[in-house]
Parts: sequence; C-alpha cells; structure tokens
Amino acid sequence: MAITVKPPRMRVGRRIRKDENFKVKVRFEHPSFTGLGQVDMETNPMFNRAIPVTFIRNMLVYYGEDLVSRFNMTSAIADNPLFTFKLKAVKEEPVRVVFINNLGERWEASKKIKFSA
Amino acid sequence: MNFNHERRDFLRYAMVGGVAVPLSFAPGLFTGVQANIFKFAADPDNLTEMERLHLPKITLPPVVEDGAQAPIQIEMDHPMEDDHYIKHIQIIGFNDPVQTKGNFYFSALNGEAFIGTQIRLNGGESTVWVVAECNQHGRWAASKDTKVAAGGC
Repeated sequence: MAITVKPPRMRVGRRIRKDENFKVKVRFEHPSFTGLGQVDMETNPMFNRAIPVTFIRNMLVYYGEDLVSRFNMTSAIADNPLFTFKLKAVKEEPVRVVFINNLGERWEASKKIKFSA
Repeated sequence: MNFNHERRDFLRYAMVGGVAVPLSFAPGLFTGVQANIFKFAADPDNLTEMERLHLPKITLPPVVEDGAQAPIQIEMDHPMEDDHYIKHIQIIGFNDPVQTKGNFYFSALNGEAFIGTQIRLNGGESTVWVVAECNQHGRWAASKDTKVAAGGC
C-alpha cells in the first residue's frame, strides 16, 4: 500500500564560504515503525510482529554529480526524522537528497549552493 | 508462520552478531584478537591524540522521555581527506528489538564526520554504541548511557 507523505524539506546555512564546512538539515515527514509489539509485558515479554514494518531505508546525498554520503537506516529510526549532516563547500552546485523507503518509493529535495561574499 | 519466525531470528542474529559479539565484552576483558576488531579509549579521562581523533563524540540526553524520538548527534574531530577519512558510522542499541539503527557512509567531500538524527530506544536503562571506521586506522567504538522513560520500539 502506497504511503502519502510530503516531500522532504532541506535547509542550509545562509553564509556558506568556499572551502568551509556547512550544515545541511533535512526534515522528512515519513512514518517509521518497527511493526513489533509485546502481547503482555508480564506473561510474554518477547517482541512479535504486530503490524507491517515501514521505514526509510536509504538516504543518498549528492553534491553536484558526486554521491557524497549514503545512509542505510532500519525501522529503529524515529518517525518524521530530521537528519543533520555536513558538507564541504567546494563548488556552487546543487545539493540533492534522495530518500527511498522499504517499499521502494522515492522522494527527493535539492538546494542550490551559493557562496556568500 | 513458524518458518518466518525462525528466519527472522536467524537474519537478526546474523546481521547483528558480527558486531554484538566483540562489543559484548567489556574493554578490560579484551583478548588480543577482540581488541584488534574494535578500539576503545584506554583511559577516557586522558585520551591520546589517536583516540581523540577516532573516538566518536556522542550527544544523547541522560534521560529520554519519549523512546520513539531519542535525539542523537555524533561528531568527530577526524580530518576528512581523500586518502584519510571516516568512511562509516554505525549506531547500535543492544537493549532494543531492532538493534542496528543505521549505517552512515561518508566521503572526503563531507568535510566532517557528523550526523544528527532521532532513533527509537526501548524503555529502561539503555546503552547506545557508536562504531566509527577510519579507512586507515580501523574501527573505534564509544558508548553513552541513557534512561528511557517510555519505550519507543
């Protein structure tokens, strides 16, 4: 079953200087649950599969044409996660983040990087 | 149904086992072979330069109210050069039903090995392990303890 989610939102710092590191924040409002549940904490403390699992499986970060980072996640990542990472400002090209969930659905966000004077 | 349960268990143990076995020993009880798999701080209060560069710094609240949204941040002082960089960071919680939270792969273009996200933790006392892998100096592990008021798994 396809999940309806909003596209991810990306923010980068306002002042980006060449050859300095800058922070990228990406909020992706995607549900994530392990699908596990405990029948009874006292009598049956083991986790069992309660509902189908849903999570963001991959996050790929491109800077221009270069694949800079690859994040492989599990269902133990929270709902609607905010990812923060850093990049080195080496070129004025777009940063593109691609998300792929465990159902193979794909979303992406991008932002053009411009150096401040 | 029974088959699925066994298969799930097998996959879980096979995936986590490679990390869980060496980490489950306290650093002080390490044999030579295990110590070569993961490196720890010999004296956490007096880090050597090598340890300072390679041990991940974990920011995790001492008390997490909602285990479904535990904020974690990992940063490192390690340089990110073409021939010497942190290639991989892994977050693990052995108290949780899903023990591996994520594998984060970096390159020199990152400029800094830094990741912030939110993870799910089981209720009660929990230790979150972070393993960082340098392309020249191997795998280094650090941990942080926290208490989770309401489990989020």
